[in-house]
Amino acid sequence: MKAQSLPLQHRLKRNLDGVRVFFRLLFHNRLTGVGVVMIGLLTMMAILAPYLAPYPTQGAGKVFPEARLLPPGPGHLFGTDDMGRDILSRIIYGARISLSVSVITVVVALLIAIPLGVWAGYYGGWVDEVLMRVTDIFLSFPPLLIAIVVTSFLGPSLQNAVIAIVIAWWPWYSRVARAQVMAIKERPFVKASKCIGTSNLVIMFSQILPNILAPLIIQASMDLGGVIMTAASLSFIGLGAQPPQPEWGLIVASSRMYLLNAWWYSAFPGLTILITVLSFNLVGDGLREVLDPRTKVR
Amino acid sequence: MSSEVVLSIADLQVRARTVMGIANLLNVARLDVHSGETVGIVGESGAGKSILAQTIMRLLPGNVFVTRGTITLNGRDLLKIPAGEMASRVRGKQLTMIFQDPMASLNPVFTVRELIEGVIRVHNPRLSNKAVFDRAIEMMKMVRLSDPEMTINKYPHELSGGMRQRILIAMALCSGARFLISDEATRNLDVTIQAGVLRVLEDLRNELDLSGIFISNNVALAATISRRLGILYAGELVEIGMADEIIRDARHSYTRYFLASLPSPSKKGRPLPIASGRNPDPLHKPKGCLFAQRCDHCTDECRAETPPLHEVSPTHFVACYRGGDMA
Repeated sequence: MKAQSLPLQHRLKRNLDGVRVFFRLLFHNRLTGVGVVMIGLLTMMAILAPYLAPYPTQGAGKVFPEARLLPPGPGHLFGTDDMGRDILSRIIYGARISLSVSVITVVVALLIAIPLGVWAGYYGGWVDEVLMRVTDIFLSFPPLLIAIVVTSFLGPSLQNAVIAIVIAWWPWYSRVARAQVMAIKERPFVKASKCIGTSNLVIMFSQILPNILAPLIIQASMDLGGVIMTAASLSFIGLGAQPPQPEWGLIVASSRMYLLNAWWYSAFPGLTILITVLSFNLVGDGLREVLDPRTKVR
Repeated sequence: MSSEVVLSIADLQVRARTVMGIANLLNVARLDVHSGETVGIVGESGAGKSILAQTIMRLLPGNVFVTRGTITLNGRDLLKIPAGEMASRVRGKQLTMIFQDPMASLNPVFTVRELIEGVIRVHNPRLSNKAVFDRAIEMMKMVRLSDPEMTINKYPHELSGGMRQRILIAMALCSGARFLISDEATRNLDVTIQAGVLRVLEDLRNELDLSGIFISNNVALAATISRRLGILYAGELVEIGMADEIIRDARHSYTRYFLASLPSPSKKGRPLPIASGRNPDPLHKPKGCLFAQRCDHCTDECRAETPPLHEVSPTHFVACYRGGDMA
């Protein structure tokens, strides 16, 4: 018993050390630290929206004609929109939509892309050929264009926007996964595993996959911002979230009419998008520095 | 030799398809490995040692294929077993292999514990966590790793070359296979570490009744651990016999050159002999004895036809017309 509890403790301590080192490295670069803090705040904002928003009940459908287009002031920190709703409250609620859309999209895209990419990279042959030609088709168009085409087919809604972005996004991850697998599968430990009698499926997903996660995590974290951007763009042109959903892109879209006489209406949601996308990119860059052994931060 | 034959290779021919044409890599007329016996296969780089190992494991690169022959393990022809069964029932269960580069052969993202336990679980899916852990520790003790409880939580990069090689041996053997092919397993190790690993292999052979093939380019090393030695030249087994027969009474000209070129203090001050000429090109192998052009005793007969195996003693065979009678 003693023999077993000792290594376990040792292991736990080691894992904690690992986490500590990881965060120290992450905060080593000040900009990355800023990104991590910002994303942390945004996440808190999304989770605690009902408690943080000054007007938590001002959501769907209600109109307040008496408070129409009020400039920022003590009652409404970010002012109000053309329906008299508090813009700060709508931005706080919008964080829920934007963050969940981006996380869901990236996770679903990864779940589709990794098995296909690993399979293609490991076996090669016609499976690889077919899959890569399919991704070529997708990669030959800008992702936003594909997303627009797909949403116009499926009909404009937030859910369809997510589906559309997933369709536009997964080929990138497939490509990354395939290239990494092709490099890793030639390493001797794969052959050694085969000699010991490990099946191809186990080799693919429990021996090779952990070796290729770092580049995929980096790519995914950089893309979280890009997906928010794309989702906001779709909403902006009316193909994503539908009013009265408090989606950031949608808020910017409805502010266009009042650009000249109510600057706060477009400025604050726009700034929020900017800060969010920037934070995700900063964290993505930071992760690359930490996880990629070729860049030296140590 | 009363013990039964575990592995038997007969009339094996392996070729590779290359852009330059068909390369003739391996022609092994006969090689038997008896139960509990290690056969050393010695030859220089490019002689086909690793191809031989990979052929037995059925893990050849895509452009290399067996054109003829049989490899019988425990009564079944490995070359006729379907690929799926080879992976699930043969590799690891009956037959296993260790490689020359222990660092690259261990998956860097896992700890020793995960590596060894992973292999145990693949072969015994129903064992409890405790039993798997105990088995892993037991295997590590078996390969004489000191302080297994400490080492088991380390990553491969934290271990020394000798420790890594021991881990690799433990992983290979906890699958339950009793036929071990070691492909230059002690290369890249310090001499003392090498001795330690050899000792482990030798002890394990006695404890577990392992049979196997020990591939090396170092004839002294192979002779230490093997009962019999086979000399591989340009893909052909030119001489095979008991280790001391080969060392004391080498009959093939190539074996003699090979042994004479071993450095030793007694040869100090004299240049080591080098056979003139080069290994035959596997794309255009000449007819007859492959060593004929480099042999000082060759005759027209040698150039015309491949020499059959000549019996020197009941255990010692040489592929030479003159039966090695040339001194």
